[in-house]
Amino acid sequence: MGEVLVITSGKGGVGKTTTTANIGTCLAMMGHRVVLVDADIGLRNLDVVMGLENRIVYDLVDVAHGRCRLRQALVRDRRFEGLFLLPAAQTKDKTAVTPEQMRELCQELKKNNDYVLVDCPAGIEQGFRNAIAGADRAIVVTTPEVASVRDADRIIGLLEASELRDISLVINRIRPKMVKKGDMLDVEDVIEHLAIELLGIVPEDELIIISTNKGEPAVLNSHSKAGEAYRNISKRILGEDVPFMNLDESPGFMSRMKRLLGFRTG
Amino acid sequence: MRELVRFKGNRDGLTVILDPEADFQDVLEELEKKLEAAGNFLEGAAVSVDLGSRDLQPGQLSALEKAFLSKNMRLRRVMAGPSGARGVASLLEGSVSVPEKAPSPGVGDGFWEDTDKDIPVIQYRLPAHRHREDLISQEQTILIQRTVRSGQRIFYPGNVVVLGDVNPGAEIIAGGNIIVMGTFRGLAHAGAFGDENAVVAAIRLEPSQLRIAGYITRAPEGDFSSSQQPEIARVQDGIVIIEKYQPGFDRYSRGQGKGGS
Repeated sequence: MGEVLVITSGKGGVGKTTTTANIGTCLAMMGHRVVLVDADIGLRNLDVVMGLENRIVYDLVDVAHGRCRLRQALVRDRRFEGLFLLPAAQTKDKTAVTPEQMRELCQELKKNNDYVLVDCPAGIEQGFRNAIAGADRAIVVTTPEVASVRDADRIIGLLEASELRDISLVINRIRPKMVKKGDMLDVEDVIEHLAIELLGIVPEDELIIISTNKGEPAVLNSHSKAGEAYRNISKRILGEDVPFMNLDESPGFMSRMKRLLGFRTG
Repeated sequence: MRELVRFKGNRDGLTVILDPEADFQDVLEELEKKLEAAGNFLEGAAVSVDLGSRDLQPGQLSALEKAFLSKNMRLRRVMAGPSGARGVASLLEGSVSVPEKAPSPGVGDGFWEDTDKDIPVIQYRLPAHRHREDLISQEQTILIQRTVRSGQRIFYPGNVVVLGDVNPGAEIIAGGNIIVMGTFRGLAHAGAFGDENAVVAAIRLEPSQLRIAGYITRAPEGDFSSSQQPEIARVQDGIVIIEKYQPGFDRYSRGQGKGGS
């Protein structure tokens, strides 16, 4: 019996889909059976980010309405054996499925897979309610911006109200230089405000844009800082104890010289 | 002396208790007066009405409903004692229904609220009289043991104590005092029924807006460094003041040269 995780945020554009794609790919890379469910009906993106857009035949709404079997709708990833995508419908909207149907669907998917990741749409309306219906755990994604943190707070409140207690936080798109100058909320500020467990921190990374456009999740790129962060997050989901990433820029020429000369650089 | 109309808060939200013996017209007038006095802070609330042993006559239920609607409030259900329920039930065409699923304690989230238009009638069997007397006191206190988050609203006619933070976008409205064992960044309204002696105290008091009785203040614009100590807000000489919290603070010795030193 697997586990259903919903990735949610309230605010749009903070990186829910990117986070879903990367964690899912990484878990599959480590040998687990993973299904990614795109719950953003009408505005599907996960298929594009995964590079599986042109393989879609059936979608989530077809399954919910019994127009096809669940197995027919699952799109197998071209890179990993155990990775599947259940795409959203693009021509319907959020009211096309009900929370009960989603709950059933998640139950069904849990039986044969280790992890079911549900990519939640932005907002707190029916799309959100559908996405969290079958979830065992929630991952709330936020960026270090006041508006995003505020929405995350609202979402956490709603998750708690619907009896979902296992909630952890991913802080996305941190810019270490801005934090250092005091122009951006730092990790401690966000944690103190939201008061939930931190699952991971992901630095801003231009490679993410390239990778989402190409349909190649960043975890597959060993040079990507964000990819490394998502690999750490995936390990933490599996229960490993991984220290948080040091976000300071690589040491400059002078500090390297000092280190070579035997000075302590702290 | 018995009041004709009383407000009571419990885990289900706000209940309005109508004196079962008094004349309905007097009760209705008193209710309208009280709703008026409460201003618009009750707006959007869903209320239950407790009739006691009163038998409602045709048209009276809709008069009550109208009184609430004029304040943008919603009549959520009607509770009645053993002899009252039948009368109300017949008004609602015999639909005595069972209580809906209890909402989470004291939190008016509004999000999962059903928009069912029917007003259920709940009949209670407890020794109604005593039971209700116990619950009425304004000195009652509710304890919230968690962080109150954006979008959540806590309304309670007595005192509110929060063991946790109150985040921006959250609202705490109390008939009495508000005490937060944590950081207060949301909106506070103490003494919501007009009690100017009500106070708001917090370990870190940084509310976006602070109201006591009819007084409204807001946080200063721009960056300001809050003091790193517990503070208390109260009304003094017609303005809301915030000062360092001093253990042993006694509201009755106010104005005798204490406060801040």
